[in-house]
Amino acid sequence: MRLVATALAASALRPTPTLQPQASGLYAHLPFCRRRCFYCDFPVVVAGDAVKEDRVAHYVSLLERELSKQPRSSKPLATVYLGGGTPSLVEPRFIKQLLDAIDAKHGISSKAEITLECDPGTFDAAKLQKYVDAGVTRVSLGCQSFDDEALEAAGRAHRRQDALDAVQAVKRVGPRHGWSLDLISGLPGTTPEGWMETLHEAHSLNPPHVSSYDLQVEEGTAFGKWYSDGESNGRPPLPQDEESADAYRVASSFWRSRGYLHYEVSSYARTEGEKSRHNSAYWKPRASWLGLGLGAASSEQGARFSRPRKMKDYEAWVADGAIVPESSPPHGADALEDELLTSLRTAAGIDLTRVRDVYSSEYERAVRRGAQEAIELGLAVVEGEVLKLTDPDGFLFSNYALAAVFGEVGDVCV
Amino acid sequence: MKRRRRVATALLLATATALAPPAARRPLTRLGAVDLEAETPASNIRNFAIIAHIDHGKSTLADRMLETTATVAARDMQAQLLDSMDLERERGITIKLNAARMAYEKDGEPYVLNLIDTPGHVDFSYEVSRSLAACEGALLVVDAAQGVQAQTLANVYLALENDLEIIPVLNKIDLPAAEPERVAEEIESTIGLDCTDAILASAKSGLGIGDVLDAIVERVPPPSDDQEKPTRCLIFDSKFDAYQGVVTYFRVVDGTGIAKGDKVKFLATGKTHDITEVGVMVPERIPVSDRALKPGEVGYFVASIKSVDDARVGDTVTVVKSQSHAVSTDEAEPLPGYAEATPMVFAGVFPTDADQYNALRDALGKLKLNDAALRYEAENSPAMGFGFRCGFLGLLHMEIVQERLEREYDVDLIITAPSVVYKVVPRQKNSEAVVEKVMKGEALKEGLIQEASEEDTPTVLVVDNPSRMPDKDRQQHTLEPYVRLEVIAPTEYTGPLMDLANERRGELVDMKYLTPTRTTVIYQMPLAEVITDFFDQVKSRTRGYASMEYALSGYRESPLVRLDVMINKELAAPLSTVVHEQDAQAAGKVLVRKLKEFIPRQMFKVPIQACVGANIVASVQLSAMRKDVLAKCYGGDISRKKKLLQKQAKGKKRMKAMGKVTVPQEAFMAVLNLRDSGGD
Repeated sequence: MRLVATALAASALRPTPTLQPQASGLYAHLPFCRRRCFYCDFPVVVAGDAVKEDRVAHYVSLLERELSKQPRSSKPLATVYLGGGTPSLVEPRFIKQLLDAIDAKHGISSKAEITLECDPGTFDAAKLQKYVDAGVTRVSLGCQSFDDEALEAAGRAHRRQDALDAVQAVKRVGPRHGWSLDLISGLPGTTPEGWMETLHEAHSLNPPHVSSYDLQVEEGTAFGKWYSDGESNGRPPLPQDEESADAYRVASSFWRSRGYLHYEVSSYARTEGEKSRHNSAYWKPRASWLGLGLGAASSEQGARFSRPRKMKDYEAWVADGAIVPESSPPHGADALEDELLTSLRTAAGIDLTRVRDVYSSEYERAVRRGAQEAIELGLAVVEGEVLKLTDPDGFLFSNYALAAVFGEVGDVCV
Repeated sequence: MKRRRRVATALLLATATALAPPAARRPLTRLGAVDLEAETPASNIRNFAIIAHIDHGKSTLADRMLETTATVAARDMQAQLLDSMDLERERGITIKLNAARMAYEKDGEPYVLNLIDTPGHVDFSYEVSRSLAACEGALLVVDAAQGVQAQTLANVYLALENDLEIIPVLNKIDLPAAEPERVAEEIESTIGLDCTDAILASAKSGLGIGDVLDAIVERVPPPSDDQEKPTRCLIFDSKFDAYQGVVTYFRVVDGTGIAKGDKVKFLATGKTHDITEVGVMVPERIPVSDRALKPGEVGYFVASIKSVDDARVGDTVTVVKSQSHAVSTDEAEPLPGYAEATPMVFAGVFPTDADQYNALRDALGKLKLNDAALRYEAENSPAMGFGFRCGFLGLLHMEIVQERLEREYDVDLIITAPSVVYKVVPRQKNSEAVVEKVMKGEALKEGLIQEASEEDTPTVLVVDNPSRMPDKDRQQHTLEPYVRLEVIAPTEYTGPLMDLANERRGELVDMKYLTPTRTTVIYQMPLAEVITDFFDQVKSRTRGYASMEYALSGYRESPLVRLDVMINKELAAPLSTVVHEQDAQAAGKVLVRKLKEFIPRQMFKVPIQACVGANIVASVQLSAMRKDVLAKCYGGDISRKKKLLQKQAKGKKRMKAMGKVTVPQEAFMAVLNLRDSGGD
């Protein structure tokens, strides 16, 4: 009996092949940066302080060509996210050209959240006003820190004053869907006191949204090279795990005690309505979103595709017709793991009745088994039928908890 | 100085060439048409073995002889034919024996030469001795550049004990570094073997093969042929075959022989079986159905036997009933030299994944069918789950079993550090006398009783698992196995070798110069010290120039204590080890420090302690893991991060939970070497 039910559930989940994407959001990548920050492993194009217009024009035309090859979305887009790189290095007329092209192709809903990533020191109020006139409704501001030494040690091009000026500019223009303040904890040279100051300074600016990342030293980055041997080699030292873990805990209690919603591992919103709508879509099961540009990822009901990360390869790919290979969405353990990975990042957690209904009761039991240790350690809780990681400990050890659950889910024989 | 040595080598080389008879140029007698299965009188049979150190060319020589006698057509020739297991061929060592019957004509007379191969490792010296017992002669193959090695020496002594005619063969004489005269001298001085007639050969190029074959005919005595006695066959090997059951390899020693249809009795087990097939090895098995195999012949039989345990190496087979030939009604006496395989090294073998327990049990059962020396019994512990305590002949045997389990049966294993078998005698009336007997290796009442008793003779407690060693405060005698260890190395390394042996509780027995530049040192040493990284240390301290050999010499009383490990205040029994009282503290320190390296940080602080009884002798603290999070995870990152997590999940699976602490496999081997070898 259960077998039949499982089979039915599985067939219900299989997507009906459709030419029209189900996506409600689109991510477009604008890779230009003044310089590469020492921690960055994103696909960027280092352009110096002034980006040559013809390079931008050429790139935007590439995006337009890719757009022209995409199947039209079945409904107008509810969110657009222009990320980078440093999109605010791109002149507003190009942003307008791009948004117009996206609108012409897929349609952008009149209430859409359109986010532009901006770096302090690359725009003023007048420029921002032009972005808003072009359609931008939300700004994600890459402040990272208010500590000049930490900013310098991280290879950032801006300083504290630039960040404060940028916030004033954003406030003056007042984008419709507000703005987000991006911070990075655990940067080299930061002290617990320095981090507290950064938090206080950030709070005094009353941001509607805060993204607070714990620094991750990635292979292949400058930090990866410098700090991989555990030595600082004459540079400001990387904080000990203990300190950066504390920084994370401090940030969590700091923002929550000030009424912010800690709705995802690294995201805080002042109110329910000020959560990032675009990012929230990433954390939903079987999400669909469109991708556009260098290194951008797209997803069709969980079947993901990443565009080439090197400009040459991307150009060639577009020239070849920008073909997104057809692939069926993940199913079984594979799909459940995606869902666990994304859902457990959020404060909402994962609904176990959904796991039972969509996957099987066997999978549900596996998830519960795998979560047992985390529950005993206080990293996770089951409230009603919802499994959630605790804040901050569960979030801080989310890999540990997830790996245990993955271990059980991966062992379920189908 | 250097220059002079080079000249000397060149001179020796010239001599070698002069000495070498033009064997390769002589037309070889090929007997491709000879019926290999045909009956041959005992006077025309020669049974011989090859004694050689690893890499000294035994297998190549065997291959050349098979080729030369046209036993094996060149097209069927796989390099190193005799080593038939993959593992053997990969490692270039022989683990299980095989045999080959060759036809050879000399002076117009047809001969049958039976080569009985021997394993080449100390773990299998009992099998070697039984193979040698089936022969009248042996080729002693020594690399003309490297000289005599400890392993060779040990096997030569075994051959001499069995009264074998030994023919020295200096191999690889075409190598630039060959010094056949020096090596011949070395053989004469170490073994006392006359090397005037030593054969100079190069198995690789085929040089001297004819001389070797001729010498076997001329110098190895024919087998005796006493057909009046009851038939007796010596088992020198047995193998499990999936289709035929156990195939027993034997040498007919005396009597009227053994044929298909005979009812035979195994004297050690007392079991009888009906022979369904008899034959010879050429080296593949060829059935012989029209006659009996006669004294001196080497062959195999199949008799619906299910496990090699019922056809043990060294056992005597006698014919109790035959339809085809006369059978003596006299009671057959067992041939001398039979011994049961005694495992010397024990270790816990656990499946990585508890679900594989049944697969592991089945695999061990199947391996056991083909490996009489392997012992196993179920063991379980809260930390390791369900598994087995296994007994092995030595470290190589253990490694072979591990590899076969993982490779052939696809079971992932966690193996605890190997331990020896300790014996404990409670202090009571007559306990001193019992200790004496244990030391002499006499059979005694053994059991699980740990307490002193009112009985006249105390029971000996046999401890093959360190965690079962009784606490040290008990009134008891603790005994451990000792070996006689011989290491041959260039004289310049004698000092470092002796330092090493002293660190390992060795007692110098003897030191001899083999030649002015090569020395042998002989020690009495606890086996427990040898089965650590001892051989690696020997190699590293002699730059690989040493060879080593050891044999169990008996038990000795030592002040031994059980060193326990507490992880997070919980006893980790699989990590318990037995050490000399004086070493306990130092060993404990090394152990906890190593464990700290191996055990990943946990969610909480973890004290790691080494204890003897209630005394903590060493302690370290593993600090808690602080975070384990991927801060950023947006659309494009998910696939990559998912892979990371899957990897992490797999890693976690391979670890074992000690209470709440997960311990990776390497940690279980941390107890292998508890000495601070700071020199490395």
